[in-house]
Amino acid sequence: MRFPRLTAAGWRPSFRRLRWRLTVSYTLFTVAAILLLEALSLLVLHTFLPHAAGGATKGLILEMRRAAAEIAPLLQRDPPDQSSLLARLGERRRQKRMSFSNPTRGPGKKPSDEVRPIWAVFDAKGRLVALEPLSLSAGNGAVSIEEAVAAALGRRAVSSPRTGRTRDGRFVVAVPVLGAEEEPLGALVALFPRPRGPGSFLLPLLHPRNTVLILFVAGLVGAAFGFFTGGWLTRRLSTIAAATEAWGRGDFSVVARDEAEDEIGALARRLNKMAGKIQELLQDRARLAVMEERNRLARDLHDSLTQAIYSLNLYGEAAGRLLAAGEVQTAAAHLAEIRAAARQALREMRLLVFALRPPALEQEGLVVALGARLEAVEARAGIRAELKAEGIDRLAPAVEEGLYRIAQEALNNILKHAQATQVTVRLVRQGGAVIMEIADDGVGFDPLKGEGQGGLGLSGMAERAAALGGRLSIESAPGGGTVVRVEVKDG
Amino acid sequence: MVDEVRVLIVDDHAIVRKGLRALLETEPGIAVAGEAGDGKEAVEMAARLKPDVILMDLVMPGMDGLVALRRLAGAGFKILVLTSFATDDKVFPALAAGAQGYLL
Repeated sequence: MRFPRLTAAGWRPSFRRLRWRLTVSYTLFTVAAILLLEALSLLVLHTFLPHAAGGATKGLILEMRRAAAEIAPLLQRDPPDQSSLLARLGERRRQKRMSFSNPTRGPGKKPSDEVRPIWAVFDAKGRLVALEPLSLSAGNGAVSIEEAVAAALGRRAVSSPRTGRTRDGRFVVAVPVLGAEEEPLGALVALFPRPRGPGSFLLPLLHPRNTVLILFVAGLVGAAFGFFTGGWLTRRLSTIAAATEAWGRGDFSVVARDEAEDEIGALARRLNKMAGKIQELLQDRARLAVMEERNRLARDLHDSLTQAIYSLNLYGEAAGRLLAAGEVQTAAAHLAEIRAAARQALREMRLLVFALRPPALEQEGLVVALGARLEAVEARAGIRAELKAEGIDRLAPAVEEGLYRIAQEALNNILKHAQATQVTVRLVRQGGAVIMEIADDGVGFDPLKGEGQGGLGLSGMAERAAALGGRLSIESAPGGGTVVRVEVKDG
Repeated sequence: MVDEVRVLIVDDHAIVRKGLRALLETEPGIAVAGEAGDGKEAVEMAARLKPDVILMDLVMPGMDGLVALRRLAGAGFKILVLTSFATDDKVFPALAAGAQGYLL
């Protein structure tokens, strides 16, 4: 089955807000998820690699302070005694394994994090003086020695022990090398290899710079995902919204097209079903309206034509008797009455025939329909009928319908009661309003009395005008003709 | 003439009232005492004119014909009901309400 497409000119809601809301929430959720992951990683590290998350042990700091004191005189020399420095540090390396945390392992097990660090000595200006073992080049790891030092020292002269972590997760400890008078000579830095063990791969992720980078990228991905998902949902929802809008306008040729097997698709299908039901109900209502109209016509026939013909019958009978009795003058008067009654009956007959075959208001529009009515009924009844509708083309369907019904009622009243010789229907646009005036030169009536009786369908006319958000006024006086004036908003 | 039958015509259609009057006036011995357009008017006029016979339609706006008929019959008036249909479901209630007869 092919569904009609909506035209570009058709109303389509943007749902932009929904799209941005989704984008923002996807972004926030992604960032929150990453932060949660980081927190979980920290928890894992604390459980499995406490030393990696924690700091240097007091023992390590003490050990390094001792080493720093030992190398202080060597660093003080100008130039620093590099070979002696290396020898001294190498000695320490060989003498003792260094642990940078207090491993809580079972007895007899060799702590896995007791490893030998790389030593680096810097002078007060931050220049690398010595690196032990020498064989280790700076490019050994993913991170250079300089970077390792920066991580530990924060690019500042070190006056107290500091710890830090490189971007690839290696642990760095720095202690100041102080002279005899506590003056800073430089720094001794220990760079430990990356700890091994469960969760150690998480270490690089936890580095602040990496964390920021990850958050940024994840946020971007989240935003993009939200943006596209939002766009996708928005498109589908606006298709449905456009369909419902069309239904609201009474256009049931549009179908909410969404064949997906999800909730939105199900919603679209239900709405289509509902639209079908509404269409059926509307058709039922139209059928009922037709039936009601027929009943009304039957009533009208009884009310007007039957009575008139009954009266003709009575008059005819009376005239016949009078003629037989030789009362010619009274008989002639009765015959004149018969003519008048027959003429009135003819008018109402035309009206009823016209009512049975009303012009297609929907297709032809109000102006054409009014013209047809005046020609078919008023003009043939010998009333001069004029329609002035300059610059009025089509109006909103509800307005056309309402105005036509009001005009019809007013014209019927004129035909039945006014004895008018002239009727003018005027349609004018004034600002955002449409004004319709129906004027006749008939016998007129007292509007207050007319309304009080509820005859003439005046209250029905006023109700129709009110339903269109408009007003209806009637100016009339006995013997002075009548003007019915309706003012409604166009649209 | 003293022994004329005075008739009150009650119908909401002026054209029918006129026709009835025209016909009744050709009948010697019958005089049209007045015309009423609805039930309320009929009750008032009957009290004032004291007609011998009331000729009335049952289907009228304002006071329903049957209500007016019941009231008039209660006051002792003789009433003939006018109706278009022999099967009119108002005929029998009208007779039950005190109408003397009906005219098709």
